[in-house]
Amino acid sequence: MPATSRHALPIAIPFVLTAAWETIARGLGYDSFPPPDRVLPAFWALLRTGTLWTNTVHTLAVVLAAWVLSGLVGVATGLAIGLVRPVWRMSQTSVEFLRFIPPVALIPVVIIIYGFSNTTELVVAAYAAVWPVILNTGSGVAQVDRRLLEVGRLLRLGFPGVVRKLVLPSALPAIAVGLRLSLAISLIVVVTTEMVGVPDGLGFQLVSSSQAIRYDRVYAYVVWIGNLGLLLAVLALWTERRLMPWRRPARAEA
Amino acid sequence: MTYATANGRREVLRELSFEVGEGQFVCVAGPSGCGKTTLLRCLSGLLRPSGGEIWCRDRKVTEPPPDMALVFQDYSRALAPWRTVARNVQLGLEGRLGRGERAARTERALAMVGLAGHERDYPSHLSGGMQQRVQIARAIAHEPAVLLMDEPFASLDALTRFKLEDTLLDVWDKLRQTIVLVTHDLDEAIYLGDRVIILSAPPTRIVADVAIDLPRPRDQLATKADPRFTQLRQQLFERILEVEPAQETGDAGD
Repeated sequence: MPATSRHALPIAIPFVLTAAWETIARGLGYDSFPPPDRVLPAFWALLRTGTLWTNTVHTLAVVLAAWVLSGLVGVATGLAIGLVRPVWRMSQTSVEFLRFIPPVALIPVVIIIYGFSNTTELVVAAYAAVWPVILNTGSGVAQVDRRLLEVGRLLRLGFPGVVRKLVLPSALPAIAVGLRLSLAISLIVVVTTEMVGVPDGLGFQLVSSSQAIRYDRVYAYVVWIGNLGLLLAVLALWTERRLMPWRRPARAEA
Repeated sequence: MTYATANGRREVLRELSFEVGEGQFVCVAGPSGCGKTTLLRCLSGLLRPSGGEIWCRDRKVTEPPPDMALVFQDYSRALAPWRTVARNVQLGLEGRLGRGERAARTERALAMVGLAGHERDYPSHLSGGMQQRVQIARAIAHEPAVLLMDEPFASLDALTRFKLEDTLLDVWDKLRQTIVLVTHDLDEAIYLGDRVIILSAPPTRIVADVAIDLPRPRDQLATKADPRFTQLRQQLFERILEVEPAQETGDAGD
């Protein structure tokens, strides 16, 4: 496929969907399902007053903090699980139990501890986002080629050297997959926490708009949050490619 | 050397005793599954023999010694895909040598194996033969006194194999390190070595230990056309056939 159509189609599809939304919403005429041409003005209004900006900054800051925290804890834990067989065996039951606790169920409990604060959002989101990092890091580390570990022994790199120079870089593609999932989960859970518990940020604005029967604003927030997710995903993919140049095909040299 | 397997203990190497002189090029050949790789893993210190001892320059080998290097057959697994050619060669030198000395050794080693100019390529962008050259460069960058090679050219096509054999002879001619090369290819053993050791099927012992009195420098065409080459080949081949068990054993030891 030529480069233009390869990029053009994925970008064209959202416009087609928006057009379909417009047609269907107009046809139905429900108050709770406004067409895009009523959502867009609401969006501009929120942008002009600064409400959108302030709340976006708040939500994104918590998302990034939760992502970094879950990344650090997740990589460290995954490393221990992947490297030390007994740790893997001992932790399996607990991991499978803990990771299926719905983050939403934690919100009331964490609110009791940290109140209606950023910390509550951070803790709940980091809890939810840590599992894909742990599991992907663990399996990535456990799958490091044994031959490469032998090379490490022959070159007498020592245990820290083997981990730093062979195990972590080997597991990097798997870790990146975990981090990408964890970024998406962070955004979803932070917004959820703001919707049902901590009155702040985009999630709270969304719920307030709904309670004020401003469905145009509700949709403006929903679409905006989706776009933030898209932006974060693109940034993550771009960073991933830059960090792992060896996974790119060779540059054609004439 | 005895292995514990699912079907009880399996003796692989028995009463295998030989000495390699400093700077000597020894080739070890034998039928498939005879424990050639096991032998090399013991020599390198990767595997502790269940009985017997390995000595390298007045020191007993229990761990991979610093003045020894091992080149594996499966070059793609033995190289770090995220490191460039130069950084793969430097893997074991980092933290031990200064930047300048490291760069100088890398440059020398790469030039010796004919890879000058490929410093910044990733292994996945190189052909199999070139990847194996990188592994050889990494081994000689350590300036080891002993170089062990486990069927280093077995996964390469015939023409590439001949070129790499000659590269290895050039390298050895310049550095004169002790080389123990394991191969299943009798022609390769005779062409390269000062001496060829033939192993039997398990429990493995030495069935022939023959000095190769072909003149050096050797040449793919002239040496192999030498009547003495044919004579040695026939003599050694007969020894292998004598020890080959009547029926195929079916278990692969390498």
